[in-house]
Amino acid sequence: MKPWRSKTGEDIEAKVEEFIQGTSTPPPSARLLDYGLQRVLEKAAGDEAAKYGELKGGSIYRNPSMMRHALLIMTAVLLILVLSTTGVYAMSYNALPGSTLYGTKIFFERVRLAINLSPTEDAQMEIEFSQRRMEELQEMVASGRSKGADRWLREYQRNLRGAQEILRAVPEDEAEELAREWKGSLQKQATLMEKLQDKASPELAAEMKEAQEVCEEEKEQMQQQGQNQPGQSPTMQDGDGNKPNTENTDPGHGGRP
Amino acid sequence: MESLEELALEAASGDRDAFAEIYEYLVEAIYSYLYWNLGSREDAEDLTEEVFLRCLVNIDSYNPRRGAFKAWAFRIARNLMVDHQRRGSKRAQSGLKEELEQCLPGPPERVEEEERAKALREALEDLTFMQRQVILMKFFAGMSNAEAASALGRRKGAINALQHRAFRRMGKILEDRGWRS
Repeated sequence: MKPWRSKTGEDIEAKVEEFIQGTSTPPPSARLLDYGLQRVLEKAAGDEAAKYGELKGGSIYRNPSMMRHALLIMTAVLLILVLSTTGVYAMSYNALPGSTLYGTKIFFERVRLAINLSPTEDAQMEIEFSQRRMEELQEMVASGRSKGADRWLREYQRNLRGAQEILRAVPEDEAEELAREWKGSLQKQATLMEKLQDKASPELAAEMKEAQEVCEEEKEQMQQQGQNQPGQSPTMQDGDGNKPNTENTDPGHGGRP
Repeated sequence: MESLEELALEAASGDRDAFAEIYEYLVEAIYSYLYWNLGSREDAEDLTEEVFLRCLVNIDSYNPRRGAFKAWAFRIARNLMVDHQRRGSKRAQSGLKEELEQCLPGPPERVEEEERAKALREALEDLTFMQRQVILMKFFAGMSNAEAASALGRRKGAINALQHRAFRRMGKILEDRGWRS
């Protein structure tokens, strides 16, 4: 390496080295030089052996600076992942069927379902997601959009079937409340779809009609199951906690075609 | 005298005399390294004992193929020193000056030694952690580039570069203070 010169032209490295070597370290006391080893051996062998046994096993070859770097890199990667995931999640939240981010929105919904272990919460989520489908539908009708209508129908059907299946796994003490909520939602959704059909494009209206039928079918199925197995499951009771009967079905929606 | 590596293998098989030889050989180097890092004689002595205790307890995990024993011992010293500094020592905060006042020889030399140590201390403090470790290991603990590299988990070339940058920085500080070797 090229020697670095001081203002006066001297080799500064040699000068610093000489300076360091000319500086003495205060000598250690006799406590360390004469008795240190004895104390170390006593600690390692005596009553404190168990305590110092804990010192064993730690990696001497660990490199704190490299570990710190690795930790920093991992934190940065994690942060980027979290931020990008959060960003994509936020962007996809209002995506409509037919748009690029709609698949992402559905993916996040499924992830939420997959990582949640409580059937009650899963059922609530499916109900919430079916409500989201209704919001999407309203926006699609308002903007005269029909692109992605088939995808919308598939997702809505999936939500309905998912909720129905999960409701069977919900503990009885929570099932009654959920069933009431679910039936209320189905009713509102059927009514909304009926109202929107006239305003929607023909393509969307056709999908909506099918969705409405599926919705009615779900309601009917719940009621039939409640009749076949009276008192077996609170999920089969109607919103007031009574056994359902077919007369409660809104005749305007016709049930199964 | 047997090499440190041979002594370490004997100590690992329970030979206390071999460990005593290691202690005698390394105690001042480790103390010196810790003293200039911590700025306190008492802390340096306590930690030196702790380093040897860890060496003894873990000596069977020493692997000569992974480097010199001295580098292994200094890895322990450095790790303990870093942990100690993280915990924060009150004694270290009291500074080097008081320590020097207690232990330096007679008045004529004492003032100059005190000033010299203070200047060196300030120059060392102005270095990065790694630069400081390289200077202390090489010039106060008498380690080779290879040993310092192994103890610090760096390549040999990196040690040269760190030393070069450290000297430039220290040279500037010392020159500004008007120090001559």
